[in-house]
Amino acid sequence: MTLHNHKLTYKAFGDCSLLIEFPVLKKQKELHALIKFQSHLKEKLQHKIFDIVISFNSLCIHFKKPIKLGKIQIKIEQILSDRSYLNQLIYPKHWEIPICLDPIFAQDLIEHFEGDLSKVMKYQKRICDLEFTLGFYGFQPGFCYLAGLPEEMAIQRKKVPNRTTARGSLAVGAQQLGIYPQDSPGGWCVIGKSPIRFFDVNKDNPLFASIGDRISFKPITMEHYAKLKGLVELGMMPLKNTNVYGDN
Amino acid sequence: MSMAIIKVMEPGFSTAVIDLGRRSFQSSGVPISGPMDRISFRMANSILNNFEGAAVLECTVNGPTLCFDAPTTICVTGAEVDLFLNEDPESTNKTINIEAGDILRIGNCKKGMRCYLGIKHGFHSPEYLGSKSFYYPISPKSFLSAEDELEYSELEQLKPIKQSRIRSSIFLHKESLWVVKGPEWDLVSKQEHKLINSRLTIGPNNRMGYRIDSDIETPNSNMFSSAVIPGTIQLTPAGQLLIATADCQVTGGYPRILVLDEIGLSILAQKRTGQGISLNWKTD
Repeated sequence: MTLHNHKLTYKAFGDCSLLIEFPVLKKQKELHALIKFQSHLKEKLQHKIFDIVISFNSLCIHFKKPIKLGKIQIKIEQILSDRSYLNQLIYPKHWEIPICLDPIFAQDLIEHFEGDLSKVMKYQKRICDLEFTLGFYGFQPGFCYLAGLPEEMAIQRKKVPNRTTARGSLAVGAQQLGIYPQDSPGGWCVIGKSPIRFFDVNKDNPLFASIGDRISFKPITMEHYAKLKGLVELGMMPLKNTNVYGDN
Repeated sequence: MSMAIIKVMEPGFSTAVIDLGRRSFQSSGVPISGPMDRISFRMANSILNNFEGAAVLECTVNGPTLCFDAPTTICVTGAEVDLFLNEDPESTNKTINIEAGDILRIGNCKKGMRCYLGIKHGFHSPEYLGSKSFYYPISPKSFLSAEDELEYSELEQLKPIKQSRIRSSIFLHKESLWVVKGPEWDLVSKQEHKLINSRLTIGPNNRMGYRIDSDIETPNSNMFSSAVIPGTIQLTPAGQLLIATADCQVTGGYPRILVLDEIGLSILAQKRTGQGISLNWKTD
């Protein structure tokens, strides 16, 4: 059984979870296949499971009751043998996220480039020229992992994490890009800050975007940042999205 | 059934409303936030004949002082604690009848670190993403504070107490935790002797996890983040073991070398910094 031509490895994880591993997915098409795979499994197993957590190289099914690896593997392969789920269309949106790249919000990146501000600005500009795919949520409520960072732009995680990485920080951890929705300790390299509220527990769906959506970043000035932050504090969501048509 | 109120007079070191937690929001990055010691949580609800997920108070290190405004039945399980009803000593692990105006004081945890205050029909606090469990920023706060109010159901007729006290604290003395191999066990399998059946000392800890120093050499691994469950033992680049507990992250980037079972997690939840444990292979 394969996922977009990648071989799957099954591992028991504790008593009640099944981990399915595959090589790291980087292409948009592969990520879309994974999202379809996840929603198909969710539908077929709905009463037996709590949730399915995906990442760039794994899918973890949290069952309500203890499982037997051999038996559950056969069941999953049966579910996957009907490949019609792959024909499902998904309709991603494109989000343009305002981001302030002022040095005050990029201390980690400045440190990474040992104070060379021209390198810092070049790196930030490249981030804003790229488009990313929202791969999955993890780490903390509403923290999104974005795919699409070129290998040469990877920055290693810090040996000693920052005590606090501020809410709204856009940060790089190895070859992943992520946004911190709350203040929290963080080991990733912060490159800028957005005024947007990315997780709102008072909403029916606390998340701002869905997995599979496309994300790009629009640089804003400090004044614009302050203005948007004011709007966010009044409960507004000054964030634009557009539908991406014909995507499969 | 009418609603009654508990007034928090003293909050205790770290007291939180806890139920079975949020199980279906992990794919949004939301931790489960169930009880740290599931055995004692279950015991509290079964002594009271509650439904299994009824919300309780989880009290860490020392407990709160509470004033009840209507009759009910409660019980305290988990750590061995001093318990006073209107300053008269009471026992844990049995039902206790409460009258309007009664003041319950839960003192220091003497053996173990967490005790559970169950109440008939559970606490009726607000739910956030399907659970009453405190976890900031999903719930507005992480711990109770003085003057907080907690809702519960008034009981019109209290049953006379016939139960004898249940002995349950045996697991508070246990030091051996059962583990199974984690997804990245192969990275450290050659160092098995440093991990299994050897004595380890508990370091800093909270509801997210327990840190334990080890002399494991860390393998070179630049992992992508992947799923983590309560009980996962991760190996940090500094050679520390990080045992994920009730409020743990739903994904993590360190090798997941071992996994504790639910009993092991409950035993661990009663241990404090400086105490010893050992990890032993779970046999079927």
